[in-house]
Amino acid sequence: MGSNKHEVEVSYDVSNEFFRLWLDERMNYTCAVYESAHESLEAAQLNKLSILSDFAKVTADKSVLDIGCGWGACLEYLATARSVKRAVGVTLSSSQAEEVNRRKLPRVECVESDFMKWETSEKFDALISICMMDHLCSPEEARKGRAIDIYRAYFKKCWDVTTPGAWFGLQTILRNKIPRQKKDLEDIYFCTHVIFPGGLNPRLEDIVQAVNPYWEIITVKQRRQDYQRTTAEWLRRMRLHEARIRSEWGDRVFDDYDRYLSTCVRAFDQFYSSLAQYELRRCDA
Amino acid sequence: MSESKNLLPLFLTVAARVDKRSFDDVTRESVITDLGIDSLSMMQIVGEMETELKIQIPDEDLVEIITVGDLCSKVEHRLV
Ligand SMILES: C[S@@+](CC[C@H](N)C(=O)[O-])C[C@H]1O[C@@H](n2cnc3c(N)ncnc32)[C@H](O)[C@@H]1O
Repeated sequence: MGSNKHEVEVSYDVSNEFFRLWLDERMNYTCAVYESAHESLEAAQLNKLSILSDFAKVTADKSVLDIGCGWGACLEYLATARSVKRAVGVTLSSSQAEEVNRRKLPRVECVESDFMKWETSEKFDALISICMMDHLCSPEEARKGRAIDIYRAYFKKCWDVTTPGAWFGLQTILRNKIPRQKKDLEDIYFCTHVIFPGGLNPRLEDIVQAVNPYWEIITVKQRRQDYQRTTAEWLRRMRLHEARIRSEWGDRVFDDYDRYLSTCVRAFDQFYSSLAQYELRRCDA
Repeated sequence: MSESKNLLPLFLTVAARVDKRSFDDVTRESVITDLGIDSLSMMQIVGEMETELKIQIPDEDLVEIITVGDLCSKVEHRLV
């Protein structure tokens, strides 16, 4: 279902050092939220974490699960800025899990597992999941009409690992409109199949349908322009390291990531893709 | 649907332009993939028909298109 472990490692295990060159210092690999014209990527990433933590009603007395935790930026934020009782992250990538656990963050644990198969008896008071859903359903599964069922199984699993009264700060990339031009179609096909194999961005209406009957949507924020700005900044930073990337990881890595990030900038500009943040409340009736 | 809104001729003109070849013996019942039109060409054909007719077709209309007639009907529907 969706991206398997091998496919996720194609996306995230190029090398931690490679991603460190162009992401922000905490290595958030998802859309930031810019609150002013001159804000840095670092500040905008903190805004994003703050918004999602507020959506999840995170307070110091709560235990929080971060589904698809990447290199642990959100876990670190939860443990330090929000001083939560406990923060657990799940990721499919072994190099991400190793990196998070190596940092020995206070009250933080990172588990290497497929969330959909993860067995735990622990229940969490709050959930955060930042752009992990795009790995759940493959283009082939979506074509067979299976997307809603797959996303609904994810929301059920989220329900199962929470306590009554839990809140959920969710962020997902969205696919909005299929391009009509050859080059754009080829570029998006390339991103879907080469950079993020096994995955597909959901549509907003898929999410709206699939949360039922487990979660209630309280707020949805659209962040298309923020993601355009975030990817443009990643591209700018990556190009500053072109020579080093070409010599250490090869021309193919540089060229592929240049094409991928350029495609993202255009896709958000042209409404092909978008991004949404959701404040969800667990249904307990 | 009136005859004046039959979009088969427009489909054939646009498909020929996009795929750079001519299409013979095509009817509304012809299956698009059987004509050798892949999803990439199909989206370009949709785009050119939209431009020509000054309309926009939402993506969800395009999910269940199998035959040339399915596509023509969806476009014709947007012209009303
Ligand atoms: C785009 S990254 C986002 C990482 C992080 N949330 C951030 O904001 O930087 C997607 C993450 O989802 C994880 N992931 C994808 N499928 C998963 C699954 N089935 N179970 C657990 N984690 C998964 C990947 O390993 C990766 O860490």
